[in-house]
Amino acid sequence: MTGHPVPGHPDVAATTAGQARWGFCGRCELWRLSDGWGDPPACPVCGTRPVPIEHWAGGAYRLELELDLPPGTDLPLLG
Amino acid sequence: MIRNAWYVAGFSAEFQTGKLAGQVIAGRPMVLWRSAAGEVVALDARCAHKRFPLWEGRLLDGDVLECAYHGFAYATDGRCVAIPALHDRSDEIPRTARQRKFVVTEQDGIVWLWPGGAEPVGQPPRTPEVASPDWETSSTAPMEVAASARLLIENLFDLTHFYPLHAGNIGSLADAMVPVEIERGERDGLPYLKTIRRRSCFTLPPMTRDRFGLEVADQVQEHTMVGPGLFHVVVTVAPPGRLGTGEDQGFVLYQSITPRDESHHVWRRSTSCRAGSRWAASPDKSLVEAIVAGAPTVIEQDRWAIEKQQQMFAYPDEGYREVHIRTDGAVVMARRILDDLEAAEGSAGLAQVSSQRARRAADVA
Repeated sequence: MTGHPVPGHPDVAATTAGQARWGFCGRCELWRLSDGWGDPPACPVCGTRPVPIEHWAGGAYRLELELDLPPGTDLPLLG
Repeated sequence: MIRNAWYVAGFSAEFQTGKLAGQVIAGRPMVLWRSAAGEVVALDARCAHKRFPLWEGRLLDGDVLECAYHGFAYATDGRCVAIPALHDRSDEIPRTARQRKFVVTEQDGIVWLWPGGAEPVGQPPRTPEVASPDWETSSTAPMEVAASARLLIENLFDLTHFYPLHAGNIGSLADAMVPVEIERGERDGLPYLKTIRRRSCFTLPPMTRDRFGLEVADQVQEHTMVGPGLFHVVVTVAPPGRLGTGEDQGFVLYQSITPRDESHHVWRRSTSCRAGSRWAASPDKSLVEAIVAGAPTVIEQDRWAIEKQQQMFAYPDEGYREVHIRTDGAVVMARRILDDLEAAEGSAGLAQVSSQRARRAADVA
């Protein structure tokens, strides 16, 4: 999930109250913590759409990250 | 280094009545023992007289700790109660002859300590499985690691190092593409960071199949940083569609990370399974035995990696810039949480923080 707050949703208030969110800008090759992503979200430096970016839900910031793990990867059962 | 935090000083069994132990926690040397009353006492280990390490001393009757150098003697509250050179003129014992006493809380089979100068924030995290008769628990001895505590935290959040570091023990191509949910927030005034991996109807790798006796399963795996001193892992497995229905199996793993100084820490692990859970491939053994059986190899590989990393911090950053990829999200977030906690402690840690911040300036818009 790379969603952002739905306008009008009660969770939006918490997200937009000056709270910074993490997002990954593929063009800058950086994880950024910023309150300047805008809506729809765009990197505050280069304007690229961040994938993924956090959204506020259930009292916490959340994001979902698809992993392209290298061959040989497995469950970190002992991690 | 973060000092205003709860850190694990040891499992309860590590503290025996009347036995002195010396530790350095977050740069603070301290002497600890379990008093006759059962309380774990932690005092500054530098004798107020001439800085001699009190862990070289001995306990006298009444839980009085005597320094091995000049015999200054301290009660469990840190007050100096005897100075041999003053003979019986105890009224001349200086009021300033007092050892700092650290705040200690023992709960759920773990002894927690607050080494910071600020008043403790809240209570230490709960670890109910560790001392519960409803769970079987296997705990490691404390492991000294010659690396920053931060490097272990990053390792524990890092989902991409299993290949090649752990290839051959917890690695296989079939399980490569698992989405990770990252959640961050606050609980009891403290920041937390959690990763969650959910898998449905997947074929278990051989090691896991042996443990749980399932060919195909649903699984939820959660990794949570609970402050800088504790990392909580919960793995739950059940037949497809049966999670939460009473057919769950799995384990709970607490990993404590107690910094000695900027480049050393102590790592402890405590693994718990529901009492009576059996190792599917060897039913005469408990499930917790199965879980911990494979751990030493993985632990040594992780220790090897972060100690090698630590050695490279000896060289100046000039000409070096760390690269982050998309899958580093949880690691970058954990760093920021720790940076903020450290910065909040004020000037004592600022030089270190500013060096780290400069290194990571590109992380933050």
